[in-house]
Amino acid sequence: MPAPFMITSCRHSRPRMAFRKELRMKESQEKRSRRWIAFVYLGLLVLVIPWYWPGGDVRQVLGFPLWSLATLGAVFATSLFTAWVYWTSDDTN
Amino acid sequence: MFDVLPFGIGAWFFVAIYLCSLILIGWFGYNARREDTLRDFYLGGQGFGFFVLFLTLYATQYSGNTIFGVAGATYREGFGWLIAVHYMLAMIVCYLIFAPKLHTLARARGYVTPVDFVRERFGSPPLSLLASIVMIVALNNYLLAQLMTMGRVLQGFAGPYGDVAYNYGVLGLTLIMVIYGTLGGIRAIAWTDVLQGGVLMLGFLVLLAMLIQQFGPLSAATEAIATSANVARIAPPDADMQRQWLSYILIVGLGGALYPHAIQRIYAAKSKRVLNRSMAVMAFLPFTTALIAVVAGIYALAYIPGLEGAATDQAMARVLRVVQESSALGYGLVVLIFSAVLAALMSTADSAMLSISSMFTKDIYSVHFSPTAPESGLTRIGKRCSWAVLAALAVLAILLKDQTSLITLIDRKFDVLVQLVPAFMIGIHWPGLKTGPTLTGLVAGLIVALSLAFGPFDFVVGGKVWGFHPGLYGLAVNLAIAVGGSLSPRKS
Repeated sequence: MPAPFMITSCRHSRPRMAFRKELRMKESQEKRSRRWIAFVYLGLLVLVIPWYWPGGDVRQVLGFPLWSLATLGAVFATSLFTAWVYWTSDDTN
Repeated sequence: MFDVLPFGIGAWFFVAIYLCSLILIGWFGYNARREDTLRDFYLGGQGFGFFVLFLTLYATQYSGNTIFGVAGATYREGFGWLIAVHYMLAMIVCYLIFAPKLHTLARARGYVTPVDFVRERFGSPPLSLLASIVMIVALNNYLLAQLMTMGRVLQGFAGPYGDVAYNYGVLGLTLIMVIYGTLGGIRAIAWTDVLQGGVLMLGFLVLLAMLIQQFGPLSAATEAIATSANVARIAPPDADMQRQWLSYILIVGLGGALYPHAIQRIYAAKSKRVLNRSMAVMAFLPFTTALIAVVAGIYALAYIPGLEGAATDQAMARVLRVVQESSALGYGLVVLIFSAVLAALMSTADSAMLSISSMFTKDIYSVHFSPTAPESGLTRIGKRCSWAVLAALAVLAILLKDQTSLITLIDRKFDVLVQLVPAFMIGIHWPGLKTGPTLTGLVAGLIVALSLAFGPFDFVVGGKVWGFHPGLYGLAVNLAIAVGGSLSPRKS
């Protein structure tokens, strides 16, 4: 059984090759259109680690230190974004 | 560990009913089988819908460690251990890299084990065999840790007869697990996961309500810590801890997403839509599980001071003891929480057991010893493998009862699992990834990770190098070889 990733073009007829080319183009367009998702995750990763918060700050709100609310807020934003990405990616890879 | 929690006959009765219901579900799973094939036994035939898939993913991802381990670590580190929320979400994010595409391939090509993908993608027996070994070793370690924790939980139920209860607990729970697991395969395990996931979810919510009712608002607990000698535990993490945060996010996110039993659940989704919906909901569960465990650890730090070293792992048990003694309702709720702990442990352990058996049968026995064996014969071998693996690990769990440091030493599952990132996460997207460099990278990554983890190096502090896990250094080398070698113009 040939590996699905190997392009063994010599075995295929012209219409088949055209179809695969079209599929590859469609896939690469989809990949390009969703590439920004990786950049959003990088941005969120920068926010979830509280490197930007002054050390020694022990102020708190509702029992949570302020810095922890900042990082939890970033994690919750990541959860929302992740759920949205999964929810809207039924028809793409 | 839990000798602080003696239980009466009523609690035992409740637990016995719960355990019997698991065997009954296993029997239903056995009767629901459609054919005697590996796919039916290990993936449930046509796959699971949203409700079952979501709860089996949930019950499998959150183990007993989520409840007791995270609370103990929070007691030691304070709010710094909020990282548990981050890394549990990181796994779901990392699934995005490969899970939807792998699901589509698995359904189209009839994959049963994770290594089926590696075998077809790279066509290399050595790479497939090494990937199988890495996954089996990591899962055996994981399963052993779950069995030992099961023994300790039962130790807590038995009060003064803790040591005897540990042995009987490991043997008894292992026996129950292997019975329902080999009766109904993944179908039985996923259905028991529905029950176990439900108990676990309820247990966490009850735990939060119980903590607030018993100790008052979280703000009072944090204030108590702020005015004690532990004030540093509510301060932002320092530079070293921040590096550890990044390390945990990467290694647990990437390594946890490659858990073989989780990958098999990806295969078992009825459709990509079902998989995506389940993952979308899973993205919020760190807030209802890991975050509650962190809050419990904060309450313990505020109101049960004085725990040091390994005793900090008793933080959750100590909190529960206070609740248990407060009222009859508290007693009942604590029994429910302990059932949730058992549920978390068993649902993770049974999935690991089934995954080990499938990989041994399909990737090793079938490929290297009996390529012409019929599917029904392989399923039978898989069941015998489950019995043999669990028997050996149960004996090991009893022998290592007092040797927890050994478990710590071999607990490098993420360091080795993460070395499979190039093969799965890059290999599925990039046709240019070549077999030779991928295999060489995997070997080099394993050597670097294990050498750093176990070698006599002064610069390795607390199992980490400059705050990062050894597995990530191995992965850097692994990636450089796999990607660099594939980009090289030389033929592979």
